[in-house]
Amino acid sequence: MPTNESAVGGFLQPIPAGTLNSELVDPTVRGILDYLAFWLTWGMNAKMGNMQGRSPTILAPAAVFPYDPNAIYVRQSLPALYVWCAREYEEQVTLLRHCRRRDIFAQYIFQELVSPQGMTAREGLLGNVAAIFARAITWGRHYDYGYNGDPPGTPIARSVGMMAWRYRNSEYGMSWKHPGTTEGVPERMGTGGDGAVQWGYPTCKTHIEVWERIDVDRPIDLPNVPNDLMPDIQMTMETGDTTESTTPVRSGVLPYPDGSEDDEVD
Amino acid sequence: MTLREDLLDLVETLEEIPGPTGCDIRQNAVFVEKWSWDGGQAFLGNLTVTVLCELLPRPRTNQTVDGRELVVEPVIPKHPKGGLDWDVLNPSPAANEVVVYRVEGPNQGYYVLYNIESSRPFRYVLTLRVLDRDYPRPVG
Repeated sequence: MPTNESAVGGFLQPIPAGTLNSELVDPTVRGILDYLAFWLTWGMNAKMGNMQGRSPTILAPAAVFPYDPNAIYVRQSLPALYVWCAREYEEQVTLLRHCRRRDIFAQYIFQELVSPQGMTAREGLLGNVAAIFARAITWGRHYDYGYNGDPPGTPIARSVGMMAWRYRNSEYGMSWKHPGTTEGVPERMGTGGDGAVQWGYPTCKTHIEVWERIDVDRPIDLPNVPNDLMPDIQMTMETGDTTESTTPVRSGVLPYPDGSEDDEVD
Repeated sequence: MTLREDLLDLVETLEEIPGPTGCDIRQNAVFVEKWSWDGGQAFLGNLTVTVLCELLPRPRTNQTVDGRELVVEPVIPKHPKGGLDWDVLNPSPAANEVVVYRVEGPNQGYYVLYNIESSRPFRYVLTLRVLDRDYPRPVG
């Protein structure tokens, strides 16, 4: 007999109540956020600590946020990393299995710099951030990192219940140039700060695709209830000119789906 | 001196009346600052802040565009007995420098020069844009 208890990726259904006033989280977003923050810190803190004038670390303390920064990042600590899910789509994986493909974005925002005077020294900042994202996502694990108590080296996809994920692209540049194309402010016709010394926030926005399996009902073998589960199917392949005169080719078993068929995510 | 230059001296004297030594009705003090770094580029190395000048007599300041701009006037143009020149209001920064405007008072914060309106004979009108992006801005 099936039960309604199931999951979509790392999203358990029904959601466990947890402790009083505990956060209601998107486990995929939280996992990716923590994982990418680790890679950034691991990959860039040594260099950042050797450059004076701006943040000595690639991320300010606790400056990791699981939502779209929009323009509100100016109210929070910088440099910062934001990860959020923007949209998702349904995809069929097998005859039985469906999944959802999610468009997840990671945006890294550095402290304000001035163009052109301050650009050359940190010209490679965003390219390096994007390179770290590309490797972190493609590689899928870090041998010094385990998420949420998992052993170091555990693939983050396994830790958060992703079926697969993929690095799609990154775009980067200066956000909120000032004076210039200030978000939400009508520009004076014909100006917009063109030609001015401009202040702005270097930022890198990376698009990640994530696939999460939409689980089927989970079967429960109730005691004393016959045929409440789909059984294994005994199958024989035969050959012959007619159905009355055949020769067995092969016999085998088609196992019933128990929910573990495509657990491998590595 | 021309008549305009003579009058500029008079205008400058009159503009001191609303200032802090007179009626004290102009609450924002405006300074031009140069930030320099010893690493050869802006925001690289150790920072040194140099105050280039204060805009005196203290000008009026009008906050516009949801607090994102500050219109500063009158700034008395250069004349034989005083005033401020373009080079002071809008200096050219070196590769390791930036120039900012610092305001002390109700509209305190750091600003960048966005426009100098210079068509009037007795005043410049400066438009500054605030560098702080968190709106609405706290007062005081």
